[in-house]
Amino acid sequence: MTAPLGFHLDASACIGCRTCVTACKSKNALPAGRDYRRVVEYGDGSWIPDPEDPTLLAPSNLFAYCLSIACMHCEDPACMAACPTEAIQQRPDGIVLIDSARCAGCRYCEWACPYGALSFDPSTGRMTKCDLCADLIDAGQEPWCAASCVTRALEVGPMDELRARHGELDALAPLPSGDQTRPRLVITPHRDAQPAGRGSGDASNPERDLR
Amino acid sequence: MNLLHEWPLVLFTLTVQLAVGLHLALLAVGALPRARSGALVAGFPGSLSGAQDPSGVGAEDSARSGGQDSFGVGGLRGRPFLLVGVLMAGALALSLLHLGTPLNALRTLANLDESWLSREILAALVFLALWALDFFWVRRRRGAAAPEPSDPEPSDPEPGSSSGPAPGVSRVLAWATALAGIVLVGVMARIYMVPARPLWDHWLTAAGFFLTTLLLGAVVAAAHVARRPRPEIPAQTGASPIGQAASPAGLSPAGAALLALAVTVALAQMAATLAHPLTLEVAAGAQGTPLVALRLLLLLAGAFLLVIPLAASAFPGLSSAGAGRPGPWVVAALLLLGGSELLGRMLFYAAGTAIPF
Repeated sequence: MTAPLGFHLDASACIGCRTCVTACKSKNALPAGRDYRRVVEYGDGSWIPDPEDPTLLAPSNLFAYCLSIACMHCEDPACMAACPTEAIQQRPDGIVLIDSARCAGCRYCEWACPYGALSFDPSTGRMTKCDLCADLIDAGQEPWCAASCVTRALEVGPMDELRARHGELDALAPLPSGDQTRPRLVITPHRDAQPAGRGSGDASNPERDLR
Repeated sequence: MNLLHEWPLVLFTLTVQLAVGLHLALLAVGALPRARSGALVAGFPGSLSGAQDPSGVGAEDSARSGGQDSFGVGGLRGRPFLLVGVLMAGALALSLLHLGTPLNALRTLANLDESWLSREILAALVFLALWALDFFWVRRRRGAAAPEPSDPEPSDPEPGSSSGPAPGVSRVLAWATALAGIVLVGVMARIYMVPARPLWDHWLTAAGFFLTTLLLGAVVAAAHVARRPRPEIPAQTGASPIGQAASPAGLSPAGAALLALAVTVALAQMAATLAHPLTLEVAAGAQGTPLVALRLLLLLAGAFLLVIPLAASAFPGLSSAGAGRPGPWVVAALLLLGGSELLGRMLFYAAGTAIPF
């Protein structure tokens, strides 16, 4: 049996360049305003009087890190359970796919996904999402997002191998807890990473990254 | 904040809830006890002739049929009853506008095992099918009874018992339809109570949907009842305490009961809206504060307008001061409360669909 595939994201290496976003956009010919992959920049910080010169301000508790996210091809996909037409199916290798012929475009999957991974294509009236470049996977190649990553922060492979090498962490702030859908994702945390659900920061550009 | 983002769903959910609420209101009015005479106040799904209907809800249809309701169901088998089915059918048609690919609409029944959306569509179809069965059953019976319009109406031996040609079947269908409607509203709320949308995932979402159902149903039913004067009640039939209290202002007992219900539900809806986490989130935004305030103000104003005819019933002096005709007050309240529910549902979708992180 084919081992389920998933992502490893090295948040300590991701610099938020969005090359993965652009590669995905190019591979899937996505129009402006619609992406399967997003990079969420998360951070916080404040200004305090400079200890050496109180007339000046100095940054305090400043941190920021980036998380490149797309469909997590979850072990328990909420989108698949929500889909009323059974258009969303999971392959033996874990890839969650949408059968366009069955999709009614009701968008319920979009609401059920905690990662905002599904998007509606108004030109076809159907839902769309990352398919982990299934055509490339079937040809033994690497998905474009991982292949294009300039810092090698993104990696696709069998989940058991990724977990054996990188651990079990599957969520950081601002992502939701992995308990909801058991995402096929393992994260190497940034040094300033904050735990999911208990982060003090905010997404720095929600209009762009969380639309 | 784009209030029109999900307008087909706004209209679909409100129309479904109005249809279910109207059916429940008609059924509740039909279950009101009539004192001493041993019959029912209203003919839904009971056995009272509209001409003797102290609720006033049967006046229209009984007048149309010459004062007799020969098959044993009263006036709420008329326009409001028809309206329930029309609304539900219209709501299902509206739901197609939400779909990106309406041609695949029938496939939405495919995942009943897991998808609450599939279950919602099934529940809506069951509701409509039960209503249609009831409707055509009544029409068939009415048609069968029509050739003999001089037949005396069968007596009703005890409260709630059936009379006329097999009204018991109709009663069962009416209650089954009500049950399907309650399930439908519950399932509809459950769709939005998903962990991925924390602003929706709260028991107050379900409470709000049920309160909207009761509010819209009660007010629309009350508007139907209140737009005509209360018919005279023959002295020998007796009248319920509600009927006696309402009599001076021309407000029928059913109308008074519906108005009292609507006022109570409107106040409960205000409380539920204020306590809902989504309201707090919307109100925190610069654009949201005035919209939330408007939503609550419309609810309060609508409830106040409904209190006026109720107060006029309780204090006859107010009737002579111009507050006696309930119709305009109820219609005005319907507009305010309907507007509030429309705005509330728009805010529900505008705020709840956002990615939560």
